Amino acid sequence: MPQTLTGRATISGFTGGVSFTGIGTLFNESYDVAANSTVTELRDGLNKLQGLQFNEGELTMQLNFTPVASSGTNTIADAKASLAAPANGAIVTLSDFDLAALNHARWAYMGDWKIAGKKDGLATYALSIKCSQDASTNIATAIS
Amino acid sequence: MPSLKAKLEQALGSVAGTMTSPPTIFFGADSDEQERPCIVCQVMPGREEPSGLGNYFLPFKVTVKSNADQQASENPVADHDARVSNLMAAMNRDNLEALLTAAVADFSVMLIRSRQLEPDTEGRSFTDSFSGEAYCCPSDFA
Repeated sequence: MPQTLTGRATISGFTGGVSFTGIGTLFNESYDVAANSTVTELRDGLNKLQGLQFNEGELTMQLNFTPVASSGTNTIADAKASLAAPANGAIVTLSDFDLAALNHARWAYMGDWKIAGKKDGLATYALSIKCSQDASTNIATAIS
Repeated sequence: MPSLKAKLEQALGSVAGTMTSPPTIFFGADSDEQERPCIVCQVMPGREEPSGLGNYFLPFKVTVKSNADQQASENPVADHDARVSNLMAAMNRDNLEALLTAAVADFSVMLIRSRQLEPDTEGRSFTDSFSGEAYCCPSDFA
């Protein structure tokens, strides 16, 4: 039976907070996060599949920002300072992401910082971070 | 406090007004009732980028308008061309962003892109527009 469409709640935007040790002001643009777990197939002597053993893998997140000036001083020098790269292995804290499981300080910056500038547009800033899916494993602490 | 649109129009008018022998400068909506020769500074609807920061790409157009019937001139086409040349000398600058920023308080232009020239003739009316997009915001930067 046809229904009147009244709208549904969805998830939109990029409202989470991302904080690095010693980095400038970055304005959220977009992110994507992907899980990567390994699975071992358990088979009997006749090679019949008996089960699957999952090993908790890692989460990798790509973050894209627009470097901006800080809201307080709002100077060109501020904006330029926001182009600086974090230190390799810097600890990253995520907060207020829609997926609550992402909000922790066990993320580590992977050293793949990238800036793209163009003559007739804005500079963009991209990097990736990684953490273990095992909440008891803190790779950020291990690196630092 | 003037809107961002009004600030950009004022800034464009201020820079256009530095041309040699500027005619009357009008702001905002174009109108056939504006007596020619004149210059019209107009800002069109634009979009915010990135979303949520308060910076906008605003398309603009600065148009030189002349009409042979409204001028006591023996060569209205040459007069119009001279006005266009004078306007371009004032506007087509590699530091246009700084000139526009300095023209109005609490206003910054960070980028001008997509510059275009649009000449047009209709009967005995002549128009030439210098247009583009200004990336701007209603704040001053140090």
